[in-house]
Amino acid sequence: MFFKKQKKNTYEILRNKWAKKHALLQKDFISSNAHIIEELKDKSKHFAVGSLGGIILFSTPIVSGIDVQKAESNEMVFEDIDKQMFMITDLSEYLPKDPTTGLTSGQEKIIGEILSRDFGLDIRAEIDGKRLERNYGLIGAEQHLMRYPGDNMASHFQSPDEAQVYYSSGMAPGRGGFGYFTYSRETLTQKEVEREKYYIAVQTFRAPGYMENIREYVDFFKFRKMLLVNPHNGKAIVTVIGDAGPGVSTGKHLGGSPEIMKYLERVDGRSRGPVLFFFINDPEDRVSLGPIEPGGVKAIDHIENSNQL
Amino acid sequence: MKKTFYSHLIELDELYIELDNLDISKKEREHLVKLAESSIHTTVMSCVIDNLVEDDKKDFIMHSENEDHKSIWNLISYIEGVEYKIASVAHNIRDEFISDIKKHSVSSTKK
Repeated sequence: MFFKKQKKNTYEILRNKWAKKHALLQKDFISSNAHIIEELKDKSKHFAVGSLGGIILFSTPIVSGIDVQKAESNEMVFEDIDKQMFMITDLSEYLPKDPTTGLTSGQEKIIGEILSRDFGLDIRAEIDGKRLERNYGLIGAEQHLMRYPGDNMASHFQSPDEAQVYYSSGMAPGRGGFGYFTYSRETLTQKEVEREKYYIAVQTFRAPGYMENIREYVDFFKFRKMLLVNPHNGKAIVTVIGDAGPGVSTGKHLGGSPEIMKYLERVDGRSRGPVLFFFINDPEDRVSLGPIEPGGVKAIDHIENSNQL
Repeated sequence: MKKTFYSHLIELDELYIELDNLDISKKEREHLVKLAESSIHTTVMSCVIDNLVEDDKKDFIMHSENEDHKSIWNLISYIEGVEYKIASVAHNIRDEFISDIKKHSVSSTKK
């Protein structure tokens, strides 16, 4: 027992010391080069601020949206790098090399436990006997959805900054698979704004039991909360199911809103990558939508939220 | 270690051997390796960027982002003794890590 305690101390001592050193090195780099990073961020929407110009060897980003100017005072951000690194390492032990193969029930169980532990949420592959066909697969890009009849690209965004970043994604013709998010512009609240902003499309039609109980399954899936995690960079986001799709022939297993794709640093096309997607059991609707970090801390979104409608 | 533009200049085997000799789990070893390698990487990046003229710093970061090693070397070749500088800073921090391991692992070394 004494030996076991010593063994644990060695790892913990080294980890704590090296994590501090690591955080300080990166903080110094960002502080010294803040002006360059900010300039690159402004000029190119493709510049992955999350990996900060390759300074992070592994795909473990500093929290996207960090205000680089304030980096010196934000100790908490740098400590979170290590939580993400640990989660990435933990997940990598159980994920299949080929994301198209999906997870075994054993992998699903363990990954659900890791995510529940790391995010402080009740993460599940199945709720009330209902589940999707898979919980790991390739994500593609979706367009913006009409939130109410008449919603269009001119009225869709809450700020010019948001429009600048997300306008090019365009809007899907017609309503999403679950209809409009609300009846009209007048009844639109922040809740619906965030639901559309952080929506995913999943292949509800491939869920076991779906065809036999369509109505029941549609009600179950509509705006059901899901945790999405990019296992390569550790970025995670709380989303809702807002649409059904993509089509099986696309080779994609789910789709993410423009805001989700940007935050997770996933792209469509040839460089398509996988994400984990699990239900969040949240019967009292307490879990906020949007970016989240290990520890259950709400991440800073890369576009400041505006409360104006 | 993931291949970087300076991989051919540095030697980390001694660090890995010291970590292998610790009686820790595979996962714990992987965590420590990631921390060490990422720290070494940041140190090297800082060293290079500190020696670049202002106009070249942006290009260096973008080439790093794109993992364009050829363009990186075309850019930084004017830095006097750049290979030595990179190896030197990387090995200094590597040696700090090795020293930490030796200092804290006296009782837990594998038999």
